[in-house]
Amino acid sequence: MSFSMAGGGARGPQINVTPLIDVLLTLIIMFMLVVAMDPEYGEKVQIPQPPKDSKSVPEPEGTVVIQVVWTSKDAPPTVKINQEDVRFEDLEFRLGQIYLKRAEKVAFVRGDADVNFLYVADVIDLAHHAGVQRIGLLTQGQELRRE
Amino acid sequence: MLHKSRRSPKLLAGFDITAFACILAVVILAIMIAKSVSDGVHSPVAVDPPWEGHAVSMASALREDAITVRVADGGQVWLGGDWLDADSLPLKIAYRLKDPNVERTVYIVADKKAPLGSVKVVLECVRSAGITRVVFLVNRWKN
Repeated sequence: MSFSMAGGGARGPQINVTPLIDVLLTLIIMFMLVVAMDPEYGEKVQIPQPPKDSKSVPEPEGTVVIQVVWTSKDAPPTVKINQEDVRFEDLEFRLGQIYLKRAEKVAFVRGDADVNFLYVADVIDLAHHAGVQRIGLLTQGQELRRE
Repeated sequence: MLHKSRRSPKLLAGFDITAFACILAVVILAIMIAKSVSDGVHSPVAVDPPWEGHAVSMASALREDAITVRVADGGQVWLGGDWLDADSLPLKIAYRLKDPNVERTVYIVADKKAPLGSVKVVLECVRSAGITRVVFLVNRWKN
């Protein structure tokens, strides 16, 4: 009487990997969705270039400069359109009035160095929503030239 | 008399899905590692940008070669994953601009509490590198 050990016998226990594949596929889809649904948002601004010749070019008439003026620590800054004081809540409405009849929708934003960036970002955002198409952010050197 | 073929109940050919599962696992690991590495490169410092309601989508900011400058609330400046002082920023940006495929826009992620003075220093450096287009990356309120 002989016994054969090769093949024919019952196979050993096997792991059912089908649910594992389902989980992995779901994870892949979730990762892809998370990556795809994480876009960046931004506010476009421009940095005005200084005049090429050293002579100071006079500011064009009708230029709108929005100033964000530091008041005190932890207090919101005041806002001026040119020299006119404007409440922060009225800024968008006032800018809308100004740019309603203008063909060139350009504004400049100037802020004090101590002002939190949050307020400047708010001003840029409101100006864009009020219809300003191009916003120039005045830098340190340009402010000095203007003063 | 018709010969009726009888099939064995045993599986004739089996698809080995273990290998498939292994490939999927490797793909997931690769995605996780790539994401964590890219987050590490783009978020070397905790920056909390302001929330705005009308910011527009900036798909190009997600490009691998986008020039992204971060300004922390203390005024520290980071270009990509490197901390640097503002003096070396124009040179670093100019170096990045040597690549003709790089978009000539600088993306600035500034903390909402960062003083405008430190943002202005960055803007001045960007301008001296010959770039005039800047985008402030912000969070957007869901309307």
